[in-house]
Amino acid sequence: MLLYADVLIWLVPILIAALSPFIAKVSRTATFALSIVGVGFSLACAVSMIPDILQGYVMYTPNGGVLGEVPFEHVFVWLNLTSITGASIGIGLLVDSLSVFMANVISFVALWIFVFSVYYMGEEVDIGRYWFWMNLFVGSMILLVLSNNLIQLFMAWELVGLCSWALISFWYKSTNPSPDPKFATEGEYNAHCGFKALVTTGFADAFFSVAILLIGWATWKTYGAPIFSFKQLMADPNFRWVGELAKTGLIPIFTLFILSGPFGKSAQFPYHEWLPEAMAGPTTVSALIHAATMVKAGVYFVARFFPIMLEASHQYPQAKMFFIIVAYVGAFTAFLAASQGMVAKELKKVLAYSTISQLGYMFLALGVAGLIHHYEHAYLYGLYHLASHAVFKALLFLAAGAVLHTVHTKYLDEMGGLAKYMPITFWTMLMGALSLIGVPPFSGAFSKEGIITSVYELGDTVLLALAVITVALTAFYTIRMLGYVFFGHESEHVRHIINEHGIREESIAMMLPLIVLAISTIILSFMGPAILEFIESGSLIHAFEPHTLLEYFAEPFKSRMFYISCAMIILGALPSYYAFVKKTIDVEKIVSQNVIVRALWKFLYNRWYINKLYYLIFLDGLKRFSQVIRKIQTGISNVNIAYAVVGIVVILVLILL
Amino acid sequence: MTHIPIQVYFSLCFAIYAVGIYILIAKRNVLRMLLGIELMLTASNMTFVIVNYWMSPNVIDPLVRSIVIISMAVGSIIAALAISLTILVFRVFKTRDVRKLSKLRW
Repeated sequence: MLLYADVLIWLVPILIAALSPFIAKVSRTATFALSIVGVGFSLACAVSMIPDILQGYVMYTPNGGVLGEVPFEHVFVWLNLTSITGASIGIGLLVDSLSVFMANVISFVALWIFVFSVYYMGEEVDIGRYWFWMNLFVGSMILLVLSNNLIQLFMAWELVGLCSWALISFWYKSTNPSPDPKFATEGEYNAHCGFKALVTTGFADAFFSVAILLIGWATWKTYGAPIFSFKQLMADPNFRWVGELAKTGLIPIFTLFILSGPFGKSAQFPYHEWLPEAMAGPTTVSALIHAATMVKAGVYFVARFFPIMLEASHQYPQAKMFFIIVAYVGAFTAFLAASQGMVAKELKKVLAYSTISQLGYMFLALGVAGLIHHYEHAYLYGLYHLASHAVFKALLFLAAGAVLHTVHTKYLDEMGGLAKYMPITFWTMLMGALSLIGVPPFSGAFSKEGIITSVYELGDTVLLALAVITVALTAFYTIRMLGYVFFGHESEHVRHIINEHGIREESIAMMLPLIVLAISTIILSFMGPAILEFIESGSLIHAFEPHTLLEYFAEPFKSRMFYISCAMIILGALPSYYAFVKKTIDVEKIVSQNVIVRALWKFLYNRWYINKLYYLIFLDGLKRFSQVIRKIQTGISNVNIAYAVVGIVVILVLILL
Repeated sequence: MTHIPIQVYFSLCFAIYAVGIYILIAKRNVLRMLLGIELMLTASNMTFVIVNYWMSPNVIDPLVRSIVIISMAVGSIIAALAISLTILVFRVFKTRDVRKLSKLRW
């Protein structure tokens, strides 16, 4: 490990974030360069941590002392509460195979997205603000995965949410026409989308913070001091603090609340409505925050909390509820979002729905892992899918960004026939898409196959059916997206652009990240055994031996599920291929003529009406409620004082009783 | 000197405080309301002194004394500030009636 790599890895991006608004005043190039150097440094730190984990080994301080073995923690006292509670709240960094894996994924993807940003955001005026939030995001995201306790994790959790808000509504000054008739300009729409994300995740996080406090309360009751550190929560082999929760009947509430945070951040079922709107931000932001890293924070948290709940559920079977909820919500969301992706009209929204759907697969894997006897397979494949999804979805988003940058429209039906003008974008996006569908040599195939095999082992029909049907839906919407963008005839809009200044591939600096990420999707499938073994045991002894690789590649073919999901891929891809690539089936005609199809289309296009329901309850309902409530506010001082006196009397009575 | 029970003192303070609250709730004139606030301040200062007498009849607690003196000083500053605000409000709105000063209402 580089000296103090675990601190510098997140501190350097945050410091660069603080500097970048000032540097942007002087030189744009310097801001770009500094940001890329900063995230490159983070990547170097993250990579340098791998050998330490592998050697299971000590870290050397400057004076030659030994800090501790891997997984090690750097712990500092933060709030000294010894006189009140008998303990103090520490902050610290936990370096183990899971956090090092996450840090590597984040900094690798972030590096290439930053490189892409240089040209994508090249014409942007407000570059200081952009790099401030991007760098702050990378720093706080790495801090999140390296946190050793819940309090610090929660703070980093909120920081990344804040960055997400600021970057979604980045173009809040835009005066273009709004895509939504409710708003006057696109800028207002963007600001609304940012707030929607902030409010939805904030609503979820409120429950999450209550759950964290519940852990503090239960540990305080049991051990006499609140404990938030992951390692210490594991320390008691009897998990008496879970017993304390079970005794008071709080386990269901605790489970729902602690899962609320991850579900909000990762856009799972009750909270999934913010992610499609989050596409209002720049495409690089969508790629980094809303596909590759931030939305993985929820999956990461469940994976981090997984061993605690697993051990606890051996003692208290009631705690198994945690895994049941995770599995069912994950499977349902995967299906829900994939079905909506089939009819989305905007290029980035298709990818957004697909992100929600793939996140559902990860949750499904983690939930299933807690329910079957050998948890390793499902758990590790869930995390492997996280890595492969991070790479291929970042690739898809960046390719989409290159397309949007060229054709200046986000609607699918205004594109078409771009394959011959933008060959590199087309081929790289095709590789990402095949990975998303799950076609072997690409990494997505193996990771998704592992998840489905685990669900098959569990033998739950509902989960298995949802997981397998979603494979077909994924193939359908992915091919549909490619068909709309790259095949068929050029739309009028595209022809107009060709006539004006022609369409050609973007500059090589913009293509480089695409090529690198596309190659990475293939490399990742060869790295599969390495990632699995690294997370499981922190070693790479067997990962690169030929027979391990052979076994790994042969594994899908041995399973019955592989053939079923191949059949599902063909089932989904064929109609989509004929409808949107070959254009031999006229979809518009079918939708307009067949009543059932049209009703289904409308149902899916309106997102199962869940979004409308939320707006009805939380916006219109709240507005109507406040229309009633505001009558109390008369604006006359006498009346206000009377209310205050009534309040004082009520409080006095409550105290005296 | 006859011994007056402590309850009388407390009742007196409470009565003054209640009068202050009554003025704040019932009166429309801003200046009267200010006088009501002053009455409430006086009542609470007196309560401090009386509590001192009640707890330790023969000792003047320096803490109580300093709190009361500070409170009086701050109270007079508040009164001065409030009166100047009242004058400004009167200049702008041409009224002393608080019920007409409801611009912040919905």
